Amino acid sequence: MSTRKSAKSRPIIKRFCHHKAAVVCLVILAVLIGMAALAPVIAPYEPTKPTGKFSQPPTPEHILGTDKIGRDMYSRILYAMRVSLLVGFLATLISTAVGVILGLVSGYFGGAVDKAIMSFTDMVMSFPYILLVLVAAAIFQPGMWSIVLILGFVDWPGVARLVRGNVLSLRETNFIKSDIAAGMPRRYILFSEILPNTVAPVLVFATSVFALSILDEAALSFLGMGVQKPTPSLGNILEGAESLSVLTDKPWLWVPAGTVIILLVVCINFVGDALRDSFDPRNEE
Amino acid sequence: MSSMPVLEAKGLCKTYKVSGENSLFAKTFSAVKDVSFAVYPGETFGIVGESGCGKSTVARLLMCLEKPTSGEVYFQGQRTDNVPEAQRRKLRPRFQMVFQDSGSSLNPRKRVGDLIREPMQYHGLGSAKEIDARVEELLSLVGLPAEMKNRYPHEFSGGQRQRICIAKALSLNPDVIVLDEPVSALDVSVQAQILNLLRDLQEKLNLTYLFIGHGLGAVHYLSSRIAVMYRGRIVEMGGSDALFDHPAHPYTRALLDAAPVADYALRGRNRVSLSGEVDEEPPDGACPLYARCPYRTEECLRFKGEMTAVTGDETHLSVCHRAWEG
Repeated sequence: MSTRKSAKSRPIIKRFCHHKAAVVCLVILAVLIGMAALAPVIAPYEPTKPTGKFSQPPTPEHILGTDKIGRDMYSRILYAMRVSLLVGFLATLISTAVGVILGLVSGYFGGAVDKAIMSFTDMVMSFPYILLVLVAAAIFQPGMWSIVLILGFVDWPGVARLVRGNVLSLRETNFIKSDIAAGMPRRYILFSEILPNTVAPVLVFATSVFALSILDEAALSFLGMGVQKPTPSLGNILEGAESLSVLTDKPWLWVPAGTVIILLVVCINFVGDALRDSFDPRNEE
Repeated sequence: MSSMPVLEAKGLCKTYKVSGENSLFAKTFSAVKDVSFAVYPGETFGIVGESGCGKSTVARLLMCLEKPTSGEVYFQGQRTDNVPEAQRRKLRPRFQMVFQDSGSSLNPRKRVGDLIREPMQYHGLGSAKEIDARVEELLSLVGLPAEMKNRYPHEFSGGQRQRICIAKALSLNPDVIVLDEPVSALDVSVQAQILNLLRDLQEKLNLTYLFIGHGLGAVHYLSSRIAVMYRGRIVEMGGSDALFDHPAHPYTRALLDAAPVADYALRGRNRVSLSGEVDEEPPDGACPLYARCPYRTEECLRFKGEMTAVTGDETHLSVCHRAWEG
């Protein structure tokens, strides 16, 4: 059955490669993720232990300098990427799972169930987002796992709406009608017919949720409600930038972490865009 | 025709809400009004009418894809429209449907072989090996090479896809197949191939068809009996030839006369043509064709909707009180 995969996925890869920027972004992402994964191997110092002078500019020993209590910035950023990527990934996983399930149920069963779920979705969406996250972070103990859960349960409405819309339009197609006419059970229609036809748009949407989660984690940690020190995260490394003198005189304390955030978010979004185009068979030349 | 009908509609009505679905003042539209007919084993029952006359709605009601507002649907004497889906599911393989748009009738993400195989597997129609063999047999039955089972629907032409849909419908060994405008979306040359295929299959497998179409030629070619629908009602019903040779309802006559004729000798004949458009509302209580009919009389304002036999032929029914004089 090896032909099965290649026959279908090859045009997707081909169309993806037409986006030069996305290919470059994919490479950058791979490098960053690789560095994060190999952090324990390639980091020169312990990320949580002071190993040099306070707030030292970059030197051959500490290539990105040290922070205000003397920890190696390069090692901290490597570990911070692990935390940020992990938070982003897990939050995306949770919100996508919640969104897909609620969207499927809402779209397929319709009626009162649909109304209830969609009203709840609108409610979550209309809530001031960052406030909700801050309040939740204040109520639960701040930390990596609460961030994952909070972001996961805040980001799903977009996915739920997307899936619901897709299910609604698929439900009216003749192939679902002919499944019903053939007496196929509900679980077959939902999981074997409808779900595979919504995977592509969901996957694309999930990439933007991923980027968003990384940004939200950074914002929360920057505000002190996220990942707690001494565990490094891209957000709490930026904390130093709260002071004006650091912003103007000690760029090594915030430029590298900021750059990594921008790179991650931009690259993930570009890859998502290219994925959307390449999943659409109408883009065949 | 004394045997039990395979499919039967009794007084089917379907109304849709058209505007402000949840408002108290929602307007309703009657797509199907008091439609009754029976399809007997081995025959092809045709339903013909213009777009929007409710013929596809009738198909969906018979297939229990929608619930009728009132009226009853029977499959081989068993009521099907008001039983729970779980119970109906066991019966469903025996009445199958082929849709007009073959492009959206097949899941684009599955191979043709899997599309045909999965319903058979679910209904337990044999071991994996038997089903595999059956898939190939079905494909060759509808005139496609068996190797094509490994392809995806978008790799086929419209006519080929329609053949796949027919194979899929046949896979469950149905007693009756509802064909909802199966050739309307196809090229004329391909239409003929599909119609011939349907006719051959009927002979070979002793199938019963309910054929729905707006092309008179196609319906006449396949059907032994025909019902003509106008504005949600059956206005005339009868044997295919009787209906074509002696149409008893002005609408049927207009429909037949509207078809282009190649024969010059027939061109000068006395044609019936309707004025106005389909959406012209008849006055309350009048015959649905009242506003457009060139033969209307005072009596047509008191429309009863009863089918009466045309003189000399008890199987030929019409709602027109004038029971066509000619």
